[in-house]
Parts: sequence; C-alpha cells; structure tokens
Amino acid sequence: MSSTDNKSREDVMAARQAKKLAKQKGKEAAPEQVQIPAEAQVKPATPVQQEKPSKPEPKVNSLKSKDEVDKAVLKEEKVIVADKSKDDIKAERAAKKAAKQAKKKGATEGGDAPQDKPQVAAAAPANENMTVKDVVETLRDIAIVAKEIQGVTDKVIDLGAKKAEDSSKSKAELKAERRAKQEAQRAAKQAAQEKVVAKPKAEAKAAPEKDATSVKVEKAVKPKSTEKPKVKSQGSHRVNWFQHLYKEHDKESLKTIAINSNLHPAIIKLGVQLASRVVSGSNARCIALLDALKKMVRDYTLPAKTEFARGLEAHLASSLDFLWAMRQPSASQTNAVKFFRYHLTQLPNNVDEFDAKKTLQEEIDRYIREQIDMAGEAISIAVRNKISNGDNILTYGCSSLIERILLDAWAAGLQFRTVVVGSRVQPAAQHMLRRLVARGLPCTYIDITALGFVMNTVSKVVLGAGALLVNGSVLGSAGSAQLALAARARNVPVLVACETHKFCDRVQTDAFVYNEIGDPDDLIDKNDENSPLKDWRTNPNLTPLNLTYDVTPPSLVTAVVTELAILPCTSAPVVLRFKLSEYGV
Amino acid sequence: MEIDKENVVQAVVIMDTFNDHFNPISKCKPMSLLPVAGVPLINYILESLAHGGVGEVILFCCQDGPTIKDYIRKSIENKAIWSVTMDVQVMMSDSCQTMGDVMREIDAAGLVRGYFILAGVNTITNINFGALLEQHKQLCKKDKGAAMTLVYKKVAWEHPLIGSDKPIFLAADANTNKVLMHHKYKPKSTEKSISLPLEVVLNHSEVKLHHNLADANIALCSPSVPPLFSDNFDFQTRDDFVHGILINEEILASSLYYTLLKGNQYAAAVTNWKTYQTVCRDVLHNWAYPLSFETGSTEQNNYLFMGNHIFREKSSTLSRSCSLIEDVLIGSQTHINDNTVVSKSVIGKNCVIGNNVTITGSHIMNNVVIKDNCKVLNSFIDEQCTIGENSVIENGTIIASNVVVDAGSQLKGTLLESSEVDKEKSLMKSTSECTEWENESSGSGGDDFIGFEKSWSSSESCYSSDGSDESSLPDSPVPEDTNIFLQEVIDSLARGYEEKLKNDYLILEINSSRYAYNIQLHEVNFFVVRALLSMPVLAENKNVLNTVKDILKYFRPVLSNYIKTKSSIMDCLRAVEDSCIKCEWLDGKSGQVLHLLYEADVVDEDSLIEWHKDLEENESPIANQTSLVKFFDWLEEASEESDDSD
Amino acid sequence: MSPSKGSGKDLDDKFIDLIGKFVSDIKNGKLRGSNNIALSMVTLLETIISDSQNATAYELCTAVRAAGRRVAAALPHELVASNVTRRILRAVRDENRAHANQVNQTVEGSGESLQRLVLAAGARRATLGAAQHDLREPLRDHIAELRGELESSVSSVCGQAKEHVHGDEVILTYGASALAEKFLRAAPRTYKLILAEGPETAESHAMAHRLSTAGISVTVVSSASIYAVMSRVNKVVISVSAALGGGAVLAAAGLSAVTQAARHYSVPVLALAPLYKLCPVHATDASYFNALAPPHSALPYERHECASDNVHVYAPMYDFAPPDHITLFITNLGGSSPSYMYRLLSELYDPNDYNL
Repeated sequence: MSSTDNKSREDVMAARQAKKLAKQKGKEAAPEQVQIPAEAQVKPATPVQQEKPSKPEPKVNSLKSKDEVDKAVLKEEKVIVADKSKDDIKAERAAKKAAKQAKKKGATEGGDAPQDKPQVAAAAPANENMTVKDVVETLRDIAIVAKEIQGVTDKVIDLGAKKAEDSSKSKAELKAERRAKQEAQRAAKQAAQEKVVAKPKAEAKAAPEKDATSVKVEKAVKPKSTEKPKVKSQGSHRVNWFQHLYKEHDKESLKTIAINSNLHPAIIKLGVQLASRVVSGSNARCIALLDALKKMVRDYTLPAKTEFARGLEAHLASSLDFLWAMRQPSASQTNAVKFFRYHLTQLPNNVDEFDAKKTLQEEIDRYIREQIDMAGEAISIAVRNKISNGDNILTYGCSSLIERILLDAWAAGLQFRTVVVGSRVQPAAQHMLRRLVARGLPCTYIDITALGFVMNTVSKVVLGAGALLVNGSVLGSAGSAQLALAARARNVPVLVACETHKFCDRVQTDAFVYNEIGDPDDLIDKNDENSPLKDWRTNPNLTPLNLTYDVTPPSLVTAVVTELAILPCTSAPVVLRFKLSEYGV
Repeated sequence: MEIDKENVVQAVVIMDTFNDHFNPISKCKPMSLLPVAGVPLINYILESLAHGGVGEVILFCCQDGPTIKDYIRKSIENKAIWSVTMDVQVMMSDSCQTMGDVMREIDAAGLVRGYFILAGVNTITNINFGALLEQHKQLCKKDKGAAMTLVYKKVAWEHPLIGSDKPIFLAADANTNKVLMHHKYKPKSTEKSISLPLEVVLNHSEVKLHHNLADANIALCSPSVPPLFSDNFDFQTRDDFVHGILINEEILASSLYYTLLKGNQYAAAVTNWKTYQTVCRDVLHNWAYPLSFETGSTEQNNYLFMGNHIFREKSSTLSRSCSLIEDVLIGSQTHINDNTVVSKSVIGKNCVIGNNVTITGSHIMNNVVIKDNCKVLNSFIDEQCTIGENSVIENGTIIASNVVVDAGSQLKGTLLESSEVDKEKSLMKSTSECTEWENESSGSGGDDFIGFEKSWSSSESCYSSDGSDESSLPDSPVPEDTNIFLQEVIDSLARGYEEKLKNDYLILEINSSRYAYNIQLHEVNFFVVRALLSMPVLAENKNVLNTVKDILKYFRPVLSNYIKTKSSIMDCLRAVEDSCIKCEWLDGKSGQVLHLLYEADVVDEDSLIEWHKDLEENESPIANQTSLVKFFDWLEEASEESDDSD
Repeated sequence: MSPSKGSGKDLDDKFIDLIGKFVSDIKNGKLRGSNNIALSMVTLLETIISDSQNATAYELCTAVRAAGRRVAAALPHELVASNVTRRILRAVRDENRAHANQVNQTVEGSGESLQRLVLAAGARRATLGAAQHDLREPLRDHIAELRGELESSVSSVCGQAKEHVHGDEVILTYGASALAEKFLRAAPRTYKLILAEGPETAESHAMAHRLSTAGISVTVVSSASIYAVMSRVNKVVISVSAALGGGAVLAAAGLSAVTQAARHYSVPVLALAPLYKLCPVHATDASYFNALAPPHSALPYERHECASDNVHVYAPMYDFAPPDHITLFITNLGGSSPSYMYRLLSELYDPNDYNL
C-alpha cells in the first residue's frame, strides 16, 4: 500500500526531475556536457550507499524534497526567460517529450532513445541530439534508482544551489560556496563507488550504441567525480555564452586512466598527449590517432565467440570515449574515425582475425598516405603555382601544411618573403618562424596587433584551417578570421589551404556554437611574476577568456585550396558528397 | 641640478676600452666618437644615463681627453636633451693604462660620493639605471659586503653578442642572486668542460647556472669598490676584480651579485667588429628604443621610414634606379646614384655613391666618396675616404680615415691606414685571415665579418679578458707563467719575512698574483712551499735548517691556509722533493726538512709514507738520500711504538 | 607661409631651457598622459608669453609658434602639445582682433566677418601687424579658460557615459587607456565589459583588474579573438590618441582590427576624443606618422631568430582607423559625427596655424 503510493510519488518526482533537467539544459544555452551526465551519474552511484536505508525515512525526505523541487522549478521559470535561443527551446521540447515517455514507461525505455534522437537530429546540430540523449539517459537512471528519494533531494539541493548561483551570482555567492564544500565532500565519497558502478555500466552501454553521441554521454561520466565541486567554484568565471563549452582543464581526468585497464597503452599515451597539448594541430592529431588505432588493432585480442567487428567496435568505442574526454575531437579526427568504423563494418562477418587486422592496418596506412601526405603535396603544388617571385606571403599561427607549402616553394627557387603573424597567447607562430628561418626563408614577424601596419605590403594571405564546415565557413585558430577581414579590407586574396579530410558536416555561423576554451592562465603574462591577472580565480568579476578557434565566414575567403581543386569554400558540400561516394567517409 | 648632492645618482663612464679591437680606427679618433648607426657612442651612453634618471656623470678619459671635452661642450651648447637634467664632468688622466688605474684614480680623487653606476663608453642600453641602483642599495642593506651588482642580458646561445665575444659561465645562488663562480672562456677556447667546485653546490640550496649571458659592461657599485681597487694593486680590469672578489671573498669581506634584464630592456656592449655590427642592426631594428639613430639630436623624425627597416634622412637624395634592400640607414646630404644596390649597410652624411655600386653589410662613415662600379662587402670605411672606380673591397676590410684607394684595387680583409708601412704589414696579416674564413665563413656576409674579427681578436690571444690585453702581462706560455708566479711568491714571502708583514697580507698577495697568472690551486700549494724552501735567506744563510725552522714557524699561518687537505699535503711534499732537487742549499737535507714540516705538523704521517712509496716507485734522485731514509726509518719506529703503545 | 625654419632664433635661451626641461621630462617618463602633457604645455607657453619682453601680437605669435615647433620637432608623436600651441595662437589672434575692433569702433559682427575674410586670405604678418600693444593681460584669462577646459575635459567626456552605456549591454574596449577607464567607471555598473588586451599587455591587464575590483564584470580576451566575440558586442568604446581632421582616428596599434570587426558586425564604435586631441591633419593612412615601437612586445629578444639576418620584427606604435569605422566621437562638447570634425577644427584653430 504505502509502497504503491510511494511509487506514484516517485513517478512524480521522476517527472519533475526530467523537466528540471530539460530546463536546466534550456537555461544553460545548449548541452552542458559537464553537469548533466554528472547528475545522471549520481543516482547509479547512490544505490551502493543507499542499499541499507529502511523504507520509513524516504517519506520524510520526500516531503522536503517535493517543495524543494517546486522551489527549484519556480526559480527556473524566471531564469529561463532571460536567455533562451531557438535550439534551446527545441532541446527543451524534445526533453519534455522524453520526460513524458519516461513517466509512461518507467524503467525500461532503452527503446525510445533511438526514436526521438532523429527528430531533433534533423533540426539541430549534432551536439543537440546529445542533450536529448542526456535526458533519456537521465530518465532511465531516475527510473532505475527511483527507490531512493534521497538521491533526488540531493539533486534538488544541487540545482537549487546552481540556480541561486547562476541567476544571481553576487547575491548567492556565499551559499554557493557552502554548497560547493558539501558537494566536494559528497563527490569525494562517491568517487569510490563510481569506480565500482560507473565502469561496468560504461562498458555495457558502449557496446550496443554505435553513434558518437552516446559516446559523448559516457565520456563525461569518467572525469565527473572530480568535476562536480569545480563546477560550483568556477561557475562565476564562465562567460555565459560559452557555458556549454567549458571543460575542466585539471588533469584530474587523467587519473581515471588507471581504472580503464582494458585501454591500449598507445591510446592512453595519446590521450595524455592530447590533453597536455603535446600533440596539436589537426593533421598531427589525426595521424597520432590513426597510429594509436593501428597499434590498438595490432594488439587486439578477440574475446571468445564474438564477431571481430563487434568486439573491436566495443573496444574502439571505449578508447574513443577516453580520448575525446581528454580533448574534443578535431574534424580530422572524427573523419578518420568515421573512415575506420566504415572499414570495420565492411569486414565480412566470418573474417579471420588475422586478415581483418591486416586489412584494417593497411587501410589506415592508405588513409594517412592518401588523405594527408599526398593531399599535402598536391596542395603545396597548387599553391606554389599561385606564388610568384617578389611576393609577400602572410600567414598566421603555425600550420604544418602551410610550413610545407612555403618550404617547398622556397626549395623550388621562388623568391618571396613570408610575414608570420603570431599572437601573444599562442607561441606556435614563433616556432613556425624558427623553422622557416632555419631553412633560410626571409621572414617578417609581427604580432597580430600590427596587422594594419603590414597589410598594405602583403600580396597574398595563406591560412591553414582546423576544419572546413559544410556552410563554407572556415574553422581556424583564433585570429584567422581577423586576418581574413583585414585582408579583405585591403583586397588581398585569402587562400585557405585545407585537405579534404578536414571537411566536416557540421555547420556553424559564429565562434560560439562550437569552440574550445583554452587554459585561461595562458592569457596571463608569463614573464612578469606579479601580473595583475594572476589572482583572477579569487575575483568573481574578472574572467580571462581564451578561445581556441574562430570561424571565418565564406565571404572573407577567396578560395580554398584542396588536393582536389582550388574551390570557392561554398562548394564544401560538393566535396563531401564526392568523398562519400568515393571513400564512404 | 637643484636636488641636494646626496641623492643625485652618480655614474662613472670609462671612455676607453683599453684594447685595440678597433684599430686602426680607434687610433685616429677616440672610441667614444666611433659612430654606431650614425651616432657617436658617447651620445648613446649619455642619453641612456639621462633617461635612466642619472643626475651626475663623470666621463673618465685616458686619451684624447680634450677632443671629448669640447665635444661635450658643443653638445651642451646646442642643448642636447641630456644636458638639461644631467651635469657632465670630463676627467682626464693620461697615466691610466687600465680600468683598474682609473678606479684607483677615482678613489684617490674621491670623486664618487656613494653608490654609483660604472659603465663603459661602449655600452648601449635603455635600462633604468636609477631603479637598478636602488635595487642594489636594498641588496646592500641585506648584505653589507655587497660590492657590485653585475648587469647581464640573457640572449640565445647562438646570438652574435655572445657568439663572437667571449661567453661567460656564471654560477649563482638562485635565492640571493649572489655570484658564486664566474668563468670567462678564452677566445676560441676548445675547453669542453668547466669544473664547478662541489662546495658551490653543497653550500647553497639552489644554484643557478648561466651560460648565455651577454655582458653589457654595466656594473652597480657600492662605495667600497674604488678602495678595493686601490687595495689590490693588481686588479686591472673588471674581470680581475670579479675573480679577485670571488677567490678571496672572506678576506676582502665583499661579495658580488648579478641581475638579469627584463624582456623589454636592451643592453649590449660594442666590444669588437662583430658586436659593432650586431648593435648597429639592433639599433636600426629599434630594439634599443628609446635609443635610436636619432639619439642625441634635439630634432626627431628627420628620417623617412621606407619599410624593411630602411631609413633615409630627409635631405638625402636617391636616384630613381637605385635600390635599397633592407636594414639600410642613409645620412643627410648623401647622394646615391643610378643602379646602385645597398643592403644591410649604414651610410653616413655627405657621402657620394656612384653608379652601379654594390654595398652590402658595410659601414660607411661621413664624407666618403665611392666612385662607379665599386663593390663594398662587409667592410668598414672611415671618414673622408675616396674609393676609386671598379675597386672591390670585401671580407671585412677596414679603411681608416683620409685614405684614397686608387681605382681598380682589390682589397680582401686588409687594414688600410694613410701611411704605406702599415698597409704592408696589415696586408700580410690579412692573408692569414683570408685562409681563416675559408673554413669559418658559412657563406653569408655577416659571417665573413665575424671570420674577420674573430681572427682579429685571436691574433692577440688575450688572457683574462678584453680589457687587460696590454695591461696584464704580455702573452706567454703557461710554464713561464708559473715561473713568474713562483718568483713573485718568493719575493713577497721574502719581503714579508724581512719586514715581518702580517701573514694575511701575504696570503692576499699570493692569491691575487695566483689568479693574475691563473694558477690552479694545487699548483699554488706547490709553489708556496717551493717558495718557502727557496727563499733567498736560505741561500746566503749558513745554518739552513734553523732558518727553515723559523721560516716555517713564521709562515705557519700561510702554510695552514694552503696546506689543509690530503692532496695539498701531497703537493707540499712534492714541492719539498722538487726544491730538494733544485736548490743546492737543501742538498741532502730533505729528511730534516721533512722532519721540520712533520713537527710543525704541516704534513701528517700516512701522507708522508704514501709519498715515500711513490718516491721509490718513480725512483726519484732523493729517494735514497741518507737523511730521507733515516727520517722514514725513524718515522716507522715512531709509528710502531705508537701502535704497540695502544 | 611659415617663417624661417630655424626655430632657435625666435626664442631666447631661458625659454629654450624651459622647453628642453619639458621635453626631457616627457622623454624620461616623468610626465605621462596626454592630459598632463597638454596642461604643462599650457603652463610652458604661459610663462613664455608672460616673460617675453614686448608682447605685441606678432612677437607673441612668433615666440609661441617657435616654441611649439621646437617641441613638435623633439617629440613628433605628442600631437597634443602642438594642438595646445594652436589653441594659444588662436587666442592671441582673437585678442588682437577684438582689440583692433575696439580701436576702430566697428560693429562686432561685421568686423569679425571682415577680419575673417582678411585672415582667411592674407598672410599672418598683414593681419597681425595691425595692433602694437600689450596683449598679456587679456591673454591671461584666455589661457586660464583653456586650462579650465583641459582640466574639465576628461570629466565632461565621462559625464556622457550614461547616455551611451547602459545596463545589460556588452561593451568592448581595446587596450589600456586612462580616459576609457574613467569613462567606463562613470557608466552604470550593470553592463558587461569585454577588454581586448592591446599591445601593452601589462597595462591592459592592470586596467581589467582595477575595473573588475570596481564591480564591473570584465572579460579579458586576447587581441586575437576580437573578431570571435564581436558578434555579441553591443558597443565598442575606444580612446584615441589623436582625432584627425577628416574624422579618422589614430590610436594604439591593433585598433584597426577592432574597428574592422565592429564594422563587419555593424557594431557602433564610440571614440573618446577630448578636443585637445583633435589635430588639423588629414591623413588616409597611418604611415604618415607611424613610428616603430620596440619589437619586444612581438618577439622577445632572447630568441635568436631576431638576431638572424633575414628576419624583421615590427611593432608599430599607432594604428589608423578611417572615418567610416567610427560611429561617433565623444568630445567634451558632446557627441559629434566624424563628418563634422572638420568644422570643430575650424572653430578651435586658426586656419593659418594648421601647420606650425
């Protein structure tokens, strides 16, 4: 009797919970990768600790929890209105739907995750699905662990805290602080159990779900334990248009490596390299990834009576989760993975393990050779034909491709001068300069602030790109858009050199939708010890923001040089379709 | 200057570099008037001092005082910027041959009132002297002994500033920036390893080692510095001073510190042609801002910037067809004719450059006429020269003022002066240099220039430093050196013995002369004992042993200062051996001498035995001297007794 | 039109010493900030005027002009100094004219206009030769007036902050500037500030820190990501080092990137330009005044690339923004559009003094 009425209340709780989460997301202006899964996690975590508690106490809590919930919900209503963009609403709607279904079906609803994914996927960009996915995950979790309202109340308190903080920072500062502390302790407590609970779950899920989105959900799971407290303490230091982009920079996440015993060492190594920016630059990252995969394939041992493709896929998924957790994948990497998966699925079911490995490794080699190496060569030839003697070529930052182009052109006996533009925050350009000078190219180095000063002497601008998006805009390292703009103002042609394996099917119109937040400390001037910025963490009003990418609209780019041809960047979709037919990636 | 004399920042600028790196140019005009990027050196230093908040400057000239004096007077007349805030007095003394002399002079004249800045005329910097000096004062509050803070600029190891000049190795306490070791490589030294004394590392929690420091020839000095120079007659250069302080720190009760310049501060010293060229370039590239090629003139913006660091004075005229590539500075009233190509060069005022001339990596002073079709590569042409048609001047040729090079002449790395004699000499010298480049120059213009001046500085293989080439004794092979050292030690000891000087002074003298001829420590131990045993007193004296005895007694402190460790004892014994062989008056008395030493427990027993062993091994002439044998028998008995006694 | 170049001869030595002091103060960094420089320039000229032995309009003009020229020659980049000189010259002329009018009792208005005509047409001597009497007395209050204006100008510029910046806006400012800082402080604190660090990083960071402690929420971005954030910015506030005749602007290096981005997203750009920064120069390119700053900011000297022979490192001092990049100039007389600057010029200065 009491149990059933319990049930009903729990459902209510669940429903509220779902709504809250959905709005939570709405409020946070796009999927919050850090928090949601984190919360989703709490519950699977809790059963372990909550095994023993006897029935009676939940009731007491539940009352409390109820009004907590209401309060929270009310609070949100206010906040949401503040800044809600189109896709947020979409996300929210989707979430609500999901929530309803959750109420109906209760525990078992792995089924309808696939159902409502496509709906949103159609409308919103990839990471939009993720929100929905999150919700579904969350709901499932809720359903599973609905037994303890305890968990829910915890959650409500968290949210309460978060609300208070996000909506009115200055006011609820102290409260937030207190919360943070509690959270810290709790997180600490939980950390232990997750290790027990989270992992098996992760593996279990990873296997059936093929799409990258689910991967993301899992991804956030691992680093979580340490993040939770951080989220609170740093919430005030987040530029709110970028809330969705923040990712903890602490190397804590590396600790979780220990748990994942079944990761290949090469993968772990790569993960660390990515996280610590040892491997950077989209080409380098791509090659490093493929290399790691190759090693993984080589050493992969097929578990008994599993189909090779499936087994490896599972393995692959978990390793990728780990890698992406270390650093978000670049377009080149995602493409490489697509390609790899494609060939994995192409394998006949009854393939012999040895052959399979052989073919895969060959495919990888081929990819590196064709897509990166030869492509680079082709591009360098194409650009060389555009460089004429006495030119003054301006380039920005450090791109392996551009470097190759320039060195080749110089070796081919062209007489030109290179203007290397760097920015204080990214020292990469200085390395580029060093390498060019070492090969005897006459160079000019300027900071990006000096653009206006040299632009009138520049004859061509050649830029590298992180990715070329379907809508023709170029995702380049922060500052390249500025360059393109300045060049356009002086009517200097802007060439973007970009191999087709960096084309990706995302669309993006500004640097906000997708970006990567660099380490804010990089902004601080290294060579004066008492820089005024150094204590920004203690100063709630001061927020250094270090963007990694920016997006150059097609209108500012004269042409994209690919290995296929020199194209206007609006013809990116064509290239993608072509490639799809060609390589199936 | 209305400000009361006390807190006016004082600076001493030494107007000579006491070396001939810039011969023959520095012969015919004072170093301070050598133009760098068209501006005499003296302007840079004065401007930067004024800019650094210095109130009073003492220019100390050892030669051409009058010239400098009226140069200063003129620039004060036409209201140079520095003349407003700074009062400049020119000191002259032709007697001074080295920087050390100058400092002694200054001490004698009592010119400096307190803390002061010591800079060379060849310094170009934009640092704020006032602030640095303040820093040094604070430091002195902490450490009373702080004598000098050396100012260094950190640069890349390959950087020409240290690449060509002799690089420094510096070890310092990381927390206090106290200099612990200062080692200057010899020019073109092949030495691969530096021995870092263990105690340096042991006694300090954290030790910084620097190898890529460019010495800007700037030092912040405490009032104690000039006296120190006067006390130590053999401090000739700043490096002597540094080494002196470091070697016997506790005796002189003073210590050295160093400071590195921040990223935006520039400091360099023009020590030779290569650094000259580098500094010119840096000035053109504006690293030394606010110092520039317009320094010293009240007017600015008389130069037009033409990109690629090409600057030309407004009144200069270029022909339409001539081309300036990069890093070019062209003075006022200079005219450049058709199809002439200039790159990486500085051209002074009122020059006339003919048609189809190629000038690269060269420095051309005022009023030079270069006729048509000449080639000038990596060379220096001083004022009022005329270069005839079709002549080729390259590979670091240096042409002093008022030389007329007749048409069609080919000059490679020669030194031309107005007198023919020099020309011959320099020509033959140059040939040797030519050969040097072949293996040195890596093609580019600059390198020939290094090649040139490297060989240049190597031609006089100076010992301790640039400064002390002539001053510190003439170049001589090391053995001679030690002999001189020995002689000096003997003299000082003898004097000390006669005049009954305090041992500390003697130690001090020995140390200073030790490092002046840079003698290794073990050698010192050796020679000290050697000297003790070969003092003239012994020679004439009848009763040698007694004399030896009381000599030993008298010089006990000296001995104990040097003969501490096992190894030093062995040195000592070897010295005994050596002297017993060399000096007739000790002939056959080795045993007794040893006994005396033993009694004065300078030497201990096991080392004696050990020594005795290797005596026998490399059967030395004294090994089987009766006295010696006796002594050792006695020794062994003694030891046995002591053994069975306990 | 300008008398012989030798500026020395028009001045006697004590003035030259004064000027030397002034110049060296600025060079040695004792005197900083355009406003202070302007004020002390006024003081300098005042002493020159009051100490010069015969103070007819002509002598005064020559003396002041010579002083101005001398300073300008020594410090070509302190445009403020020459602006102040022009203001004083203008004052002298006005006084002289007024006096002339009193002498020959003509109606003010017509006299003015006539004088104007003559002035516009004739050489200076012709117009100044007219009166031969002491102008020091009347000039004194002129100068006092000018000083008053200079002192108040900053506050009056900042006074308008409320009209331009209001709550919940996102404001972007570039680099460090005392004026911009005051302006931003004067505005209601509820807006969000994005501070893009300029070439002088340390100052920018210091400014960011000060503002944030003053309770403004500041986001510091590197000069590379200006374009990226621009699309979210409501207004751009910059302080200029000189406002040029044509409505163009001269300011810290890297400004053009900001204004270009702003224009690209059509974000209004407010240029803070107190009148003493307005100088009668019509330029279409920064190269006209630009000077090289030390390149340390771009590349540290320690790196040996910068010693290698075929590398050039540049760091310009100024950057140039054409009139169409500026939406509004905020002077101490209120806002005015770039196209109107020329008019302000002719109100402030006498056409004959445009080039000293």
